[in-house]
Amino acid sequence: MGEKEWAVGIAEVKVASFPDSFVAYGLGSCVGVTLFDPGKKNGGLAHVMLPSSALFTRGFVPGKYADTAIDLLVRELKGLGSDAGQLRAKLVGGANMFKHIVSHPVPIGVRNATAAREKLRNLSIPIVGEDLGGEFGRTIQFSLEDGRIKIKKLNQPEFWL
Amino acid sequence: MPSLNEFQLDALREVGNVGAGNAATALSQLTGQRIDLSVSKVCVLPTDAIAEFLGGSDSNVASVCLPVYGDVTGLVLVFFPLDQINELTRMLLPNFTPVPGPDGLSDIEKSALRELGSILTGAYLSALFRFINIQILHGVPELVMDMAQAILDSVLVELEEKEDLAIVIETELIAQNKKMTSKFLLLPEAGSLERLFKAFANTLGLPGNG
Amino acid sequence: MAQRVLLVDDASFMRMMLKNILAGAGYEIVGEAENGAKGIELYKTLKPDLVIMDIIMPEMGGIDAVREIVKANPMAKVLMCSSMGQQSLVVEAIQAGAKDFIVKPFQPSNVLEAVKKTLN
Repeated sequence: MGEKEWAVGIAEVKVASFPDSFVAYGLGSCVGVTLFDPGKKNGGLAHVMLPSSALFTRGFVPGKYADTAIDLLVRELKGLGSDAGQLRAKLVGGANMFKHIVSHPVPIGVRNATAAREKLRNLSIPIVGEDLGGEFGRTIQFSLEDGRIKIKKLNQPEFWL
Repeated sequence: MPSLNEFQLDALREVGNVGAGNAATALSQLTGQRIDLSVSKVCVLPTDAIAEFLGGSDSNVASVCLPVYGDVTGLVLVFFPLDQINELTRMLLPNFTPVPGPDGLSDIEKSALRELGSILTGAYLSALFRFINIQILHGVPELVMDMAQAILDSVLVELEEKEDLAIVIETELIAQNKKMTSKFLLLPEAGSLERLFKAFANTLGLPGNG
Repeated sequence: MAQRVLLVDDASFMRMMLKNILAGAGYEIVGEAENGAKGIELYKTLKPDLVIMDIIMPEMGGIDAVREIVKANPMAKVLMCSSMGQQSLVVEAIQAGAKDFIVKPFQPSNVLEAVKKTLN
């Protein structure tokens, strides 16, 4: 069975086991939440768009909101045999790319990051790496071999988190 | 999902042509050289197809973003491929030798690109007004250069209850034998799209949505 | 003596275009501002003969700025710049005290004609 790189689009949540891996293209104000179980080499990526499911207005999609997306991610990883206590999180994204067209005093990127952090804290899942904020979009590749994330921004060299 | 029927798409094409004509005249006067614009495509796209239309989620683009208000509220995004940026700025500033800034463009060039986005937007919106009597005003333009999906992410989330559809006019700009592409997208907020479609229908004497 | 002009527009590109047109015709550009609030400030300190003002700007737009300038000096001469399709805003600007308007992007002859008309 060949290894697969799963693309995780906006509002999607996907889990898999090594040697599979994940990619999320063009994270702007969205936050990519990764959870990794180093023992079993299971992991998942959620491409979160909004901070809270309390904001849902129509067509509820759990992957859209930080709180429900992370719950879903943990649930699916348990389904793969991982124990919640073994999971480690990393957060990438939450950029603030626009200055004028914002409709809320706190930029959405910041609100997404804060919501993700809070949810993970409530679940007692440690955050072992972060690359958040700034003004640029990010494309990330999440490896299930060691839980590292390769991050690419416009006109900048790639680096690992 | 509402859409535009053949007649309405034709009307949109006319809007595009008239707008492009006005923008071409304006740009030619502005830069003192012959600039031609021709509409290569008009359509209505679901928002989740936009990244693909722009060349892929991680394709690098320059985007001028303007809030719009009036009969239709929402956002306009005008996209240019990032690898054509220098040609565009040379077109707008033919006698100018820019001093590059930290991200490769000088302030004047960025300002020129914002104005280009504004001019195209003003031209299409005033053509819309002429054809379907819908008045849309635009606000201050903002320029962002990044991956298509990252820009869309950040923008779509700002539209409260977006309509999931974008009105698209793709135009070729031709100057000094160089061809550059611009993609104008109007992303309406909830309720606005219906108003827009009704206005198309009323003008052409046809029943509601297609 | 050259007539003194204040330029108020958030687009440095547009200010550059206007400067080239006006300086070439013998006008003196005494100041530049990128929003209405700065425009009002500079108007009060520089007391130019003419203000050329954009309508759509961040922080404070042209219509509010014209109103303030005309309040400070009822004889103030302000020429508005509008984009294509913003005619309704132009009407508002004239009601707020602007003397005339030009449509962006500019044709040099139109600008110079409007400037001459407004100053006389």
